[in-house]
Amino acid sequence: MIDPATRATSGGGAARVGAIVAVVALGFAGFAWSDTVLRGGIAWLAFLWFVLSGWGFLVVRAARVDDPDGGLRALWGACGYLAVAGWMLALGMLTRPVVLVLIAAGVAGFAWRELTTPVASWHRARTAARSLRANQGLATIVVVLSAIALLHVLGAVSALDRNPWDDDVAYTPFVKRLLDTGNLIEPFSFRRLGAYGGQTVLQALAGARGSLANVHLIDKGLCFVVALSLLVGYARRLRTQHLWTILVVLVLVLLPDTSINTASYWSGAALLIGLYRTVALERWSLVGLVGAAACTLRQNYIALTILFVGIALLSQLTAEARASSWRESWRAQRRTWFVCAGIALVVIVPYWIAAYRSNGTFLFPYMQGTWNANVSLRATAPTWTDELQFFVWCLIETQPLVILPPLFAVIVFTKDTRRTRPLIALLVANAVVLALMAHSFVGSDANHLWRYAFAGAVTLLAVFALEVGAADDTPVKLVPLGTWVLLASLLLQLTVGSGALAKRYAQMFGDLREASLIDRHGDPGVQAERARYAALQAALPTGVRVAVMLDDPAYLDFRRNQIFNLDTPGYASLRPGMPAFEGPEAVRRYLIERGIRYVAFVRSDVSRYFYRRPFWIWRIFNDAEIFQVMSAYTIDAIDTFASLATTTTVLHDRDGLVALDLGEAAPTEASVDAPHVDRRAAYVRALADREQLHDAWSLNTRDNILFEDGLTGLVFLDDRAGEPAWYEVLHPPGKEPVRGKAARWLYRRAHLRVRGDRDMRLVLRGTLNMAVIHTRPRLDVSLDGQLLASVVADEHGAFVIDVVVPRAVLTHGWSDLYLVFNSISEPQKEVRDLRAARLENVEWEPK
Amino acid sequence: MIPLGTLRASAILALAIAAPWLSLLPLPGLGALVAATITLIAAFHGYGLLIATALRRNVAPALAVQWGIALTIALGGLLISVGAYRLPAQTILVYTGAALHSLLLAAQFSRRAEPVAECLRHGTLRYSIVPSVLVIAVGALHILGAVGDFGARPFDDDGNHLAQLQRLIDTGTLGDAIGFPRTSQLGGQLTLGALANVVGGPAFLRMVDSGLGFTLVLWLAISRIRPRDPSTALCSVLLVIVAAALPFVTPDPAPRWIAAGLVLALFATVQDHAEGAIREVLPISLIAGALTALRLELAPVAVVGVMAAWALRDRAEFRASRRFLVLVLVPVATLLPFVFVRIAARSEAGDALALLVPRRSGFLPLGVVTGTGVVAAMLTRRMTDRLLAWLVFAIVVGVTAIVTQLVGLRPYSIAFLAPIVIGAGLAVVTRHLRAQPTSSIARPGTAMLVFALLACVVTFQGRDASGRVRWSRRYTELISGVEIARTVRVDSSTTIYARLMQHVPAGEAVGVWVLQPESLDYAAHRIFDLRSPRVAALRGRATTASSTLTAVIGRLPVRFLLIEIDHHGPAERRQTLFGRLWCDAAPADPLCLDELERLAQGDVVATEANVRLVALRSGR
Repeated sequence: MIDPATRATSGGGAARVGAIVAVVALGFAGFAWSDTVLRGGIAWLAFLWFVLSGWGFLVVRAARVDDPDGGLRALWGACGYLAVAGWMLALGMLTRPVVLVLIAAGVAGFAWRELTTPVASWHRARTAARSLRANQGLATIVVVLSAIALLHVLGAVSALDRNPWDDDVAYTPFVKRLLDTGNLIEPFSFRRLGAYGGQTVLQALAGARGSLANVHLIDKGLCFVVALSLLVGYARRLRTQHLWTILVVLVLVLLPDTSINTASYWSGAALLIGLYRTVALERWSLVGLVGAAACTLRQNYIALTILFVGIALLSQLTAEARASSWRESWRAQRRTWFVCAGIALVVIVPYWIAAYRSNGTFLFPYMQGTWNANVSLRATAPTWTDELQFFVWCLIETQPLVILPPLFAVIVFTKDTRRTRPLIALLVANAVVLALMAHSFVGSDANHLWRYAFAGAVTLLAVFALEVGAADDTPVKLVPLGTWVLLASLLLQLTVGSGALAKRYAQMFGDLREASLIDRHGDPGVQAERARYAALQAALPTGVRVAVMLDDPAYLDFRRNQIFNLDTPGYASLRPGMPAFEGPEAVRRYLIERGIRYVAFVRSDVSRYFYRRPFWIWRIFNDAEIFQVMSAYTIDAIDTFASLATTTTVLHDRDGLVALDLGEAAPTEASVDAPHVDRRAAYVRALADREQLHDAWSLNTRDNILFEDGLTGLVFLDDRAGEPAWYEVLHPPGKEPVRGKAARWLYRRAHLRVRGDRDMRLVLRGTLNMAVIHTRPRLDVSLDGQLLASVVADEHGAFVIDVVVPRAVLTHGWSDLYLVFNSISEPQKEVRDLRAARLENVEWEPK
Repeated sequence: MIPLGTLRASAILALAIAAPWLSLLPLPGLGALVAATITLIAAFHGYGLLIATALRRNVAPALAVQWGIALTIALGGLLISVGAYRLPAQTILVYTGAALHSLLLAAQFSRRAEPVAECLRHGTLRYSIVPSVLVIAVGALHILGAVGDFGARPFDDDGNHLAQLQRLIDTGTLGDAIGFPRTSQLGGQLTLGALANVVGGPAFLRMVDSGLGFTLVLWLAISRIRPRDPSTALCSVLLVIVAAALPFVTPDPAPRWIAAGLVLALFATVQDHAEGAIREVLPISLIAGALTALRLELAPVAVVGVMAAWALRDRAEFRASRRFLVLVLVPVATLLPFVFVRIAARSEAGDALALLVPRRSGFLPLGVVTGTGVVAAMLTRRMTDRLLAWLVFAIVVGVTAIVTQLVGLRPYSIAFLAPIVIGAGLAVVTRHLRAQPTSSIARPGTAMLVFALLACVVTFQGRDASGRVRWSRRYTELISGVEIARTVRVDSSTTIYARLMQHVPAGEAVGVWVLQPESLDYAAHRIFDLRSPRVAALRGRATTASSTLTAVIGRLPVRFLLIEIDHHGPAERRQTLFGRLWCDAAPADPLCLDELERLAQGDVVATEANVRLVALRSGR
């Protein structure tokens, strides 16, 4: 920080102006090269760094605080941009020209700083270079680390691959819509429902130059640089020993990439690190700014931010109360609380308005808005042991940081002498949010949870390591054993993280080559896609509303038509909700009544990824429950639009892209009696029967039977080949493909849960592989501890259970059904991984 | 006015006194299991307290529990030797222990409440809270998960534990040298399992080692460390995490964690004895005897423990007193009843057993172990820390004895390296942390660095292991076990066996090959369990009358066979070309059956499902 009292201007005016010109030149280069990926992307990324730094200076001046290091200034700048852009978004005015104006404001801020700061940027750079020259060893390490970080950034700029499930169908189109129309009104979008749009507003910075190709420029590029800069700046402020700083930076640059799309990842980490630093500085007005900005990126950051800031404020209040009294302490502190909350509200309220305008809610899932209440994102009826299992799994299988369990223990015994205790506050906030997310994600897997928890975990590890390694007067006290554990953990993380480096860099250099080729010759694939979508849209009248179900809606012109993107059909829609499983006419009526007369969709046999019907058929029988439900809606939508294409006016049908005119007159409403969930269940069953997959359907979780544990996933067997003996390795393939027999392998004990409100018939059919099992075990089937049936397999290994379960036994919700073989294992073999028995059919129907 | 700290301490102690009796209440599901576990732990603690009271010593509860385990094994052995260890005696043993726990705590209430109150006042108890909570959480998972674990193998290396448990309940003693030859274990683990069965049923047998034993060894280790500042508290927490992450699965009810706990308790008691905190050697002797009664593989470590106790005190004083006699004779007295019962069982089936049990390989192992021991002793003689030297000696001798098959048989005995290394290793770590003043622990040092590295590496290894030893997999399966523990397992085989055995005259000897021998009534008949690895290895061999399997059965005093048909013979035959050509078409042909199945074709008395009762034609 520069002491304003010195004001000893260093560096000539020409050099300062030169710096400003250079930055502006970067911007122009990025703008001019908008058709390039690498050249234009790199220039634009560098330009945006200075834009954020400029915005940061504007924030510094507005908040009247000392000018911090570059990383924190850029972070405050990003938050300032988000705050102002949020109001533009709420008013529906955040179009490309407005974003460019905001960018220009950042440039102005940078120029202002450059002209008025006592130490010019070029002078700082020269001073840093001199100090490095004086320390050759450190200089070498810095150069190497910088090179690795630069590679990381180049990789982010040149990476063209997007996640087709999320980025292509939703996140990239959001950016396009924003730049075209200035709003994010997407009532039919599941992904818009769950986020305030801050990440999209940030992504608009990249797209403002005229290209959406650099999808990773903001998160994995710019925000990654901001995060590293924040940490380096913090280390310098704390006078952290070089070893710790180097280790932390190395760990971060070598972290495996576990993000799967362009949603908030490094942007969250950067904002949380910035929030931590701001709390440590006790700049509460800026805490409100940064905290609220973080909340706009991802929903799970809301709880983390509120808890972290709340605990820090409470700690401060408590510390003060110890010295005086609670009343006096509150009197002294309340202005801080109000300022912090007030500024946070100023930042977050416009995003609430924008979210409410789009989906009728700003507090999903507590306010449902356009959400389909018949869909649940959690597994059906999880028990407390299911939740505990998932929680424990996530606690152990941490990603991408593998050393979190011992680190949690070390932080618990760390003493933070600051009155806000930010380290402990962050630990507690992370722990609580982890538990909440485990509750919300039960039925998913640990990787997904840790993608959401990445920002919090990385922040905790990084700041902790820097504070432990700080100078002797550090406020964080840790016993030597803890320090050794931390050091060992970081080294272990480096070892693990470096495992996949070769593959990652090979991929990165491949991306760089492709990007530079595109820079020279353009991207013919993109040009062809643009032309296809342009032809599709040209068939639609200008200005009309159109519902789209397309692979790449980002190629559409959102200014020309009012577009409603069905990114996950059935999950979100305007009230009273888009009909599902009621036939195409019901959907046609619904859309017409909402003024949506036109539809554009991609045919299933041409869709790149998201709308391939056979894929969703596979998913219904092979994926987690949440995706099985999603499959039902998606298949229904695919079939509905395909059917409508035969009954309504086709405006365009080329290359698999179809545009329809649904007409003006809405069809008369047919009565539908069955509840929605029952209709969905009946639809899936009928679909399975049509696809001749009834047995596969019978082996899947559905509304009244859950396959809990003790069984593998669905497999398909070649029924012609007979049972393999222990010495047989392969069966010779048949000449023609044969439809396989659906089955689930059983372990010695299998657990299902069932429910019913009347007498139910339970039928179980299966087979034991007599060639490996060498016995005919008895199978006991019990329901809630009561034996239902007991059978012995016949000489071919087949068994059948066919019993009626009276209603009186099923009165209390879900019942536990256990299938237990009295022997299925060999003593020398893995008792839990023996594929010797399989279930082939399970019927649970009213008698 | 009573100070708040005293009130809190009194409340804690009152809870400890009342807790064992919660199992008498009609608690639902998991609550009943937790209460039963508390009763069992209290019973062990009660016996430990009895020893401590008799010696007029204060002993930490965790160590008292281990003493109690040793004493119950000794008492169980005595009762087994006179055929009195039936369910009523087991019940009395458990509830007497629990009563001793409550009564002795109540009698020593003020003496015990004061140290707790002191800790509360000085705030040092807070350093114990996090490790304690972690041990309770992890322990509860292990205990309840093990209760519901269906992964127990049908039989293990030396006898079907569940069947022997039922035999104890029905007859009060052990027998059947065929099904339970006791070449490596004398039955100590079963005495504990029987007590667990009293409070929680047969499923508690699986819990004794991988659940309770695991929890108790952790508790003892932390109790020895005495978390009193951030350093020791962190050590304790890391110890729990490392123990949880250890890629180690116990596939059967054999004693591993119980053994580790007793090894740690042995050397902890030796340490206290050497430091003068305990003058009497009775606990050391009891633990040494109990270790040997558990597994013969642990005998060398027990012997070294006894030697250490003798060597680390003033020998002149030692020899002159009765302590020397106690040190030598008590372990022998603990073992004798088990040995006596073993000999009696073997004499009943001695001829048959001679065909099954392999001969040992002479004096070479003894020579190797002795030589290794001498080398270890010479290398450690200059160590200033004599207890540490003895610990190293114990590890070396114990490992060498197992590897050379001086005790136990490979590959089964290799599994008992773990309790020796874990128990003795914990003794080393806890000794270092317990003895050091806080200031020295707070300084960085090589030991701290090594511990930190090991902790991180082991944790990562456990996380990254593949298959069933993977940390997350073990724990998710434990939680599945908790879910199962809520549901009663229903087994239909009991009635089938019972109906068939009605055809056998009472007291008659019966050979059985069934999948669930624990469902038999051992009081009604003399049962020889043929379904053991040694007998199973004989199936499928030559078909002549002089075949080993026929000879074994012929030498047993059995007149009936109860066989659960498993088509083993035809499956074996199909491995040959002749078998595949002939037996696929005619699976019942005598040429396609193995020896046992041929016997099952004999004089069939009764049959139900795939279980058959056959009268042997040898006509004894």
